Amino acid sequence: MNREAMKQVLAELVENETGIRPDNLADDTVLTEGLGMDSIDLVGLVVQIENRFKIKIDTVELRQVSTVGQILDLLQEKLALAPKVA
Amino acid sequence: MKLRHPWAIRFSAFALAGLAKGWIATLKFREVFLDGIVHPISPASRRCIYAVWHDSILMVAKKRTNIRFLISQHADGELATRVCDYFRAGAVRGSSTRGGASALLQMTRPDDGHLLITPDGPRGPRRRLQPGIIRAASITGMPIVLAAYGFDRAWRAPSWDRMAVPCPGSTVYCVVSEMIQVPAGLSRPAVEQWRSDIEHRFLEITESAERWAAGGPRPVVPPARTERQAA
Repeated sequence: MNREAMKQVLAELVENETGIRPDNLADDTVLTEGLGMDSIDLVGLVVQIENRFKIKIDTVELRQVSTVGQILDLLQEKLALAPKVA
Repeated sequence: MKLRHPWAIRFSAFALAGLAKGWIATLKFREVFLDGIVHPISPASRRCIYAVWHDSILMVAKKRTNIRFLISQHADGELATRVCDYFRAGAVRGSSTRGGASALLQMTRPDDGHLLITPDGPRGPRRRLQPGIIRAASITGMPIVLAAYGFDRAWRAPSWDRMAVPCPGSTVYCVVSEMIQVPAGLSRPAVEQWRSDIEHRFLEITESAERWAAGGPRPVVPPARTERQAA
């Protein structure tokens, strides 16, 4: 999945969390204030991401992620390491 | 006075835990379980989020079970974490004011224990249920169980929560609610409705516990579910 497709999925998941689909997910958009979420919404988003992409994000990684760009980078990294099903 | 030095924290935790164990041994406990189930139940059968008002948090030291406490990330939280170690209880660091997202994420992980939250903590307002516990229940799928306490004789600290310290030899009255299952994927308006409803329920059973402690009637339990007097 390319970065743009991931961004579309992320927008959908943010809409599930907040009820509002973000117009434009720029890389420097802050995950909380920039998307109208609080820290609890952020966890809800992370759980959705984990379920959708079949990955796990640990608490240390979560602390290091604050923008859309950073979470997309983390997603790409984890998906690249995930075992591929033939 | 804030404790910062690790050894000062360890020594204080050891002293506090020892003091607490001795003091708890002098207290008498009377409990009512409104759903007829003796809590905390085995986490192997069902993990629960137990809620205790911040002013009654000392009472959970009575229970020796597989439970993790949500504790503030501030320095006072380090002391509380060490005290939990002496009671063989786990701690999840983080609160609504700092590191909350990481703490809540940690709580979603499969674990063999229950969770304990003070829903009006870490700084109040006193007995105002914060929405975090509702979202935690919605995200994790764990039911909420409310535990309210009344005291026949207790000193109240001049803190924001008026922390209760029961007098040695006194009786503590505990009323435990039914399990409350919060639906997954709640919208924000729905979270607020659940927050309000559960806060109302918690205040209701708190009043019944305090009334019982003051010599009032034992809270009503459905037929065939009997009160257990715990030593």
